[in-house]
Amino acid sequence: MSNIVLETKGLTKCYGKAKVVDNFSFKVEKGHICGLIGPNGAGKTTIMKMMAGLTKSNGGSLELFGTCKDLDRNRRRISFLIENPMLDINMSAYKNMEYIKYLKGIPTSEKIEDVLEFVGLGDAKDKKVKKFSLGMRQRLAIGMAILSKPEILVLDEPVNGLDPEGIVDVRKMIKRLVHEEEVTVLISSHILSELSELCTDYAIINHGCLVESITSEDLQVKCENHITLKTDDINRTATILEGKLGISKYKVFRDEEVHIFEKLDDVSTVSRAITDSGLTILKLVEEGASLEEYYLSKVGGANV
Amino acid sequence: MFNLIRAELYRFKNSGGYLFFMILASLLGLLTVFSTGFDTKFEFTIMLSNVTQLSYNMVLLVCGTLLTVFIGVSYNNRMSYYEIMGGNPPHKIILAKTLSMGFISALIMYIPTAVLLLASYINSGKQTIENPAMVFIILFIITLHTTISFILYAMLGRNLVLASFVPYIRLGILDLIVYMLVFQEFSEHADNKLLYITTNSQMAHLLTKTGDNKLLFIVLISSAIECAVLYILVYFVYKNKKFK
Repeated sequence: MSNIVLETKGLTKCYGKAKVVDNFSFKVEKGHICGLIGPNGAGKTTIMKMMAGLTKSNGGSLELFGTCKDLDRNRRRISFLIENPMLDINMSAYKNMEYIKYLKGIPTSEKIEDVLEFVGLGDAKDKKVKKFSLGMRQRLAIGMAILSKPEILVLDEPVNGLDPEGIVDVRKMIKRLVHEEEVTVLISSHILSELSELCTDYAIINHGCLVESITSEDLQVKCENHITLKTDDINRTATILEGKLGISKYKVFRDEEVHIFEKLDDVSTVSRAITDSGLTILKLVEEGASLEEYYLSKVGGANV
Repeated sequence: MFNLIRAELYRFKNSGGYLFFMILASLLGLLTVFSTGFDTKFEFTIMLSNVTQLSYNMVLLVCGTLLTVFIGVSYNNRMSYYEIMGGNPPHKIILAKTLSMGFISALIMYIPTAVLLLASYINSGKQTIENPAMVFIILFIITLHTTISFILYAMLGRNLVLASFVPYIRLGILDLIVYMLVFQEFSEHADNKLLYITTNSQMAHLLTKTGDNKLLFIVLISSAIECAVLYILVYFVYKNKKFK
């Protein structure tokens, strides 16, 4: 059985003549934390709104839990936090939670107290939301999203406007949820560093298009200082690296190039070993970037 | 749908005192009439034509505004979006909102007029209407029709500012236009009243001038027409997912 719980295929959205989301395809696997990263106006919120059923797509398809049928029914297994917290400021935190309890048909109120404690609002449960700070509102909105024990949590810029302490708290909260409740998370942000300690996968988006979909592991590898080597026979190259040079820390990308993470100060030895074996070097360069630099190189720094 | 109704009523009860002020306005409407030294021994038909127009329309306007503002606010703070994101189909959302809020609000708005009419019915010795019970039923259907149309208009606007003008537009402007267009003719020819009763704020005239069963039919048909048209429009708004 497929492990994909959320998938978009060629999703497109136009507002008038402007194409906000353009042929966007990506997948989220069960139990993963996927970061949707892109500059402001890249189309992150629109994609999430389409997932939430708040906006209709102009093309493409959305699959939830492996099917594009019964989207409404499957949305019941997902919780969304889109843009600013959706709260009734005239009610207390507890009553906002209770509203969700009734809406989702949760039988008892016991879990409300636990969730409020979990999001750090145990002492403020009877306080009206209009007296809450932005951080407290954000926490409450997260609490309302997790009350129904969703299988997928879709969070649109949940740390927007939060102070550094608040950002760390939200991050910890999401990590705990994933570990304790096995929730799959799709989280968006325009700042990669905010998500770098959280996500297992990233989808980089710009001008409504998917720029790159990459796992956290591959991203780390790509950002780590390395020698990029491209030859006319990548399989033989790998054999030479292991056999002749004793290099074990390397990774082959798309059967095209090898990233070598050893012997960074001895590029000439690597070069000689490859050419002596009769292979042609097409590319040999030392590379490396910070996560931020990598992201900026993908979306174009001027746009951020 | 049960969950939607429960959640909607819970928020209506707990948010911003809308329910409290609606009941208060309704009771004040009733007290105002009595405090003017009004004699409940008036003829039932006179009560219908004079009292209801004043108290009923005022209560409808004040309570209606509270109702539509509540709905408008729920679009502004986007609480209404939880219903959509929760995977509820449009028809369930619309039905839950209109049935729950419409019924409760209609009941609250109906109380003052019903009490006045009941007082008149009990105190006046002279009855000119064959079936007074039918008058109460028709009056409630008209009130329910009004509240449901308020809710649907507010859902169509999906905005606090637009929603807060709904009762004035619906009871004021729309009624006035219809009144000017057909009232004279209506007085002369009782059959031509479908459009008039659709907006029905001065329905008391009708109650005194036509047979009960026929009027009930007209009230039901005209209510169904307006509500059905509004329902279809709101349904397409929800179906096309036009939300900010």
